[in-house]
Amino acid sequence: MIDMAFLLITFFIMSIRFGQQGEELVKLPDADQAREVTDERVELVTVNITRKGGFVIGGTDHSAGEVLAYLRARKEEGGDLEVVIRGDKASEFSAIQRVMRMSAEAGISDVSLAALQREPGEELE
Amino acid sequence: MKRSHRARPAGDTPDLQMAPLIDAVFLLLTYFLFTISLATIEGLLPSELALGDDFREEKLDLDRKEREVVVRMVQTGSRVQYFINDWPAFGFENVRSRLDDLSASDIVVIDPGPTVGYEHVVRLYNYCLRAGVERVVFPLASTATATPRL
Repeated sequence: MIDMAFLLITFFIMSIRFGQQGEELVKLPDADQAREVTDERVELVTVNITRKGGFVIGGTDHSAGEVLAYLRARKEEGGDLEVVIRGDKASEFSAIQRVMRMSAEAGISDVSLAALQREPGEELE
Repeated sequence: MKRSHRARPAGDTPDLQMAPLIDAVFLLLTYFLFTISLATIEGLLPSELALGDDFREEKLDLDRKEREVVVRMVQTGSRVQYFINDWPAFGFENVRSRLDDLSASDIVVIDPGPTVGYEHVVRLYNYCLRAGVERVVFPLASTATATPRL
């Protein structure tokens, strides 16, 4: 009885997480050359870009000006920073380029593009 | 302290409770199934910003041996047109064959137009890395709206 209860609880917890992922605004493109970050000294700053070109940081919508202010503030805190652009695969490059420009304006030169890892040779969408 | 000990009759095998065992197996199975699904790991494609006039002027080294290939991308309707060093390329296959000729020290500048889908940019970038080109840069200001050389 208790085992079954745990089983159901586990299932529902996982289902809730999947429900949230389904509603996720960003669907990443695939890339077989995408690699995990191995340098733990680098602090990652993630900027999500939605299909419509909106900027989302930490689950909150931001304007371009707010993103720039955020990046500048993070840069002033010091340390090695890298901006990770999580762009929706259907978004336009102008939004990606805008984040790149803002990163440069904030003095952050390391910028990475996020993608879903695929095995080499696996057919990409 | 005297430990209570219930003697088991000789020849009697211990009962294996199957029900909790199956429950535990299902629990583990559920857990692993979900974690495997979540293991579609995100990776990063590191890029180097080609800093423009506003930020830093890069010195032009006339003696450098590496080649620089500028791939411009222009969205035309639902399709993407490619231009290699301002010359039109006929489809992505043509771009791929051009990139295959490059070496690791060569530079590829990916210059997408503002309306080009991000997916196409990542596909090209991914192929550059697959072809062994280590230096892939993006200009901060797109020139893809300029008239291509024909």
